[in-house]
Amino acid sequence: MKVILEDKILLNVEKPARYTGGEWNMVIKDPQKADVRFAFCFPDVYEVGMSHLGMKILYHVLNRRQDTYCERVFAPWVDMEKVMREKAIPLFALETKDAIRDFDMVGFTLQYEMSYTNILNMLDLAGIPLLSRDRTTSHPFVIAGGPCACNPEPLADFIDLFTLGEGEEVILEIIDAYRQWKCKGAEREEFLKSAAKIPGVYVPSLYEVSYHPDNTVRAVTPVAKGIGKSVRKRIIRDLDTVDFPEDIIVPFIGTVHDRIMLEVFRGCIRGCRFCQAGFIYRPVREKTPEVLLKQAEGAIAKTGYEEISLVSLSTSDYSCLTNFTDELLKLTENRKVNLSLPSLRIDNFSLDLMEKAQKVRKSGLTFAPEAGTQRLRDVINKGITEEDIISSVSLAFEGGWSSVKLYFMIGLPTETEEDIEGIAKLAAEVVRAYKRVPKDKRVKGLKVNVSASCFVPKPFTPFQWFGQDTLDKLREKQKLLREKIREASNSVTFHWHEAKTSLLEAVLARGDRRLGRVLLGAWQKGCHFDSWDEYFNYDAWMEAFQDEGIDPAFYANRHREFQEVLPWDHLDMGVSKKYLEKECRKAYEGKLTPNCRVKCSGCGSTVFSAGICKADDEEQGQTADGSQEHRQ
Amino acid sequence: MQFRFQFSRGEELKFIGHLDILRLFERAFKRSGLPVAHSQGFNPRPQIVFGQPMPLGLTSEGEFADVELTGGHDPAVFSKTMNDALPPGIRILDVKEKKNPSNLMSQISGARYRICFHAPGGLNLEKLTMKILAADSIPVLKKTKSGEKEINIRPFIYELAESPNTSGECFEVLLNSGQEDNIRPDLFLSGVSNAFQAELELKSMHRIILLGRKDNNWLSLLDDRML
Repeated sequence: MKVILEDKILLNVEKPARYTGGEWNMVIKDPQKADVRFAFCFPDVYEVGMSHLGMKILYHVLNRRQDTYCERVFAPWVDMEKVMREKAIPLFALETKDAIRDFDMVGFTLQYEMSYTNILNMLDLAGIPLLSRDRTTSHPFVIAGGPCACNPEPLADFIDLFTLGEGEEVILEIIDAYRQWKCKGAEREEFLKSAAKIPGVYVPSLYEVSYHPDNTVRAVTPVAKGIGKSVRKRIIRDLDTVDFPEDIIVPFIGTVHDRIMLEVFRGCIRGCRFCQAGFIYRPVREKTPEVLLKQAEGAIAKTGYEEISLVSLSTSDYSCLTNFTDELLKLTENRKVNLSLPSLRIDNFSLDLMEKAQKVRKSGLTFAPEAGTQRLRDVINKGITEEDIISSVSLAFEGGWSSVKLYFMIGLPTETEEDIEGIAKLAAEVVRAYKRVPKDKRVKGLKVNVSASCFVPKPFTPFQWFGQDTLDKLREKQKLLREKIREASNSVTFHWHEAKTSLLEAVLARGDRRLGRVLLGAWQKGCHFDSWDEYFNYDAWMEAFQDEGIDPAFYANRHREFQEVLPWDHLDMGVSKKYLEKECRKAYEGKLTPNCRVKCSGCGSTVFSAGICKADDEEQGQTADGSQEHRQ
Repeated sequence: MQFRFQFSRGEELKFIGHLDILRLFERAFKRSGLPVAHSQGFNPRPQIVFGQPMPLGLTSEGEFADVELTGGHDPAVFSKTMNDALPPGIRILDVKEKKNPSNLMSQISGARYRICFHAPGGLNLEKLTMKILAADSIPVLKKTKSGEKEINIRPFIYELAESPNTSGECFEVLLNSGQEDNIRPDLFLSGVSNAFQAELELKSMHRIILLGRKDNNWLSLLDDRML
């Protein structure tokens, strides 16, 4: 069924181009000739979804197949949803405007927990039964992947299958299995069982969760024969040879990241203990400069974009950065393309590079000390010192920057009042560093912006057992910080995040399957766009918890013991639970762990034998203390 | 060298704003490989000037823009190269070399539109057309930066006829256009609805062409006298 959007509708909604498609490089195929129609759904509005690199990659990879047509779907904004519900317009894909309930497969990307209610809302708008068990052979399979899939349990009732890890290869294997199943005309369950045999595929309905009387998980066990006890994530071993899209879609309307995103490497050598990405994307695998330059050149020619950005978790850690950026700058200058360099450590080299790259005004620089004292920075393994920070900002002020943003977290494990005060002190030090620069050498109008978010403990990090601070405690800390900053300096402005959102994020991040009912209840009460402050309805969420007799504190604020079975223990991200436990103990002792290039600390990622985690290197297969790590 | 080109916007792209159109062309020029001259200074901008912004919902076959290229180029090659780099919905229809440094935006004085509408209460279109032409004043409320202001649009309606060759009810109208007293087609229609108590619901608006004026003649902006 094709959806027809009359002018009258489109002229009365905000940014109608969110719904009309037709962008440059949009893939056009004859849907009649595609055996598999795939709806790639991003559970947020167009401008957010179109900024997501993963979607661009998988759109490209899927559409390279002749037998498959992958189209894009975004969450309609509130005004459009209203019209769609009034006029019974089902959720449709941008490429063909066909209703996605007639597709073979509907795939969601799980980028942040606060988008979960949007997934339910989109399924409902599509006319697809919300609960996996209510779907029949006439419905599409609903699949999901992305970073939040490392603990997908709160979504287990709604999603037919999850993919763990990187998607480029596994998605193609799923399509192959689907085609075979479709030819046979077998039952729905048959496909799920065959898909579950693909490495990296997790079918929640094939596992049963049992609980202890105190509601902690007793065990997660497969219920069908031939289904593995645990599912290991997939990775791409060689990033140089994997398909990377150069002909990406160029939107007509402005999006959050409206530029070429050139992925330089995956994984991170740092191992900051609060950072989920730093653990779940291991091993570190780099692309070679030759491949990157070729991809940059291709993408510039095929898109016409005026800006290209290097993407990774920590671009300064790219081993060939100097040579590569020299070559890349030649390319971009020639073509009048701006080079933007996020995720750089600020030093002489990077400031010089930024000056060369961006021929625009010197906008603000961002630093992320994360914590206010050296003690706490050691706890979280953020290997930077106050001297590092002050020398970096001094360089920046001398180089003509006058506006800096400092990112911190409050509510980190072991945090005391002294650590909170340390944030204000550090900000004041930054102001002093500015004042030390002679007046004729610095740019007027100092702006120091301190931003403090609330720490959310995440699965597969050394802090996965940590009980998050309660709302009251977080607010107390925010208040204290506000006062301390006011006392410390009047050149510093302070921004903080709503603690309620962080509480809910903590619940969903480390939740189990019992949360499915809460999620459904919250959606029924009208919750959606939870990551948008103006639509986040905390009270409705709390009602939903109450209705189901579930205490959010059980998930967010409860401290968990090391021996507790965690809801995601049957999922394997490469990093072992033993290692995380060891890192957690080291955190409480304030001991640092060196980065992966200095020394392998035996996290377990050598099972992938890729990038810097090559098992053939003897030293790297061993833990720091020389003993062989045992996998759980 | 400088080119002036005429382009169209179809149904596919009628819902994107003016700034989106500018960005679309900048990127299309980059893809085409045609060497667009850039401004000097800290943040060099491509030297492209557009005639008149298109309101959301408007289709057109008569838009104009000027572009400065480095080096010499063949107009036919220009059109072909650009059309290969433009998305469906935008086409370059014609191009000529510009000889004088005239300002495109200030040259625009009028625009010919086809405005189609629905009259749920029934309508004698011929009679309404005559009434409009015979009126001395058609007051409408126009939104301005500081609020709303009443203006008389009658002096800015230069020609009006029932539109030929279309099914349904349409006007073909020549309205004032440009940097001052620009009369949008939807404003014209709501003004007429109010002034003559006719219930007219806008169905579509199409710009046939933007026009310049010289020696009492309406001229295409690609007319030699405009270049």
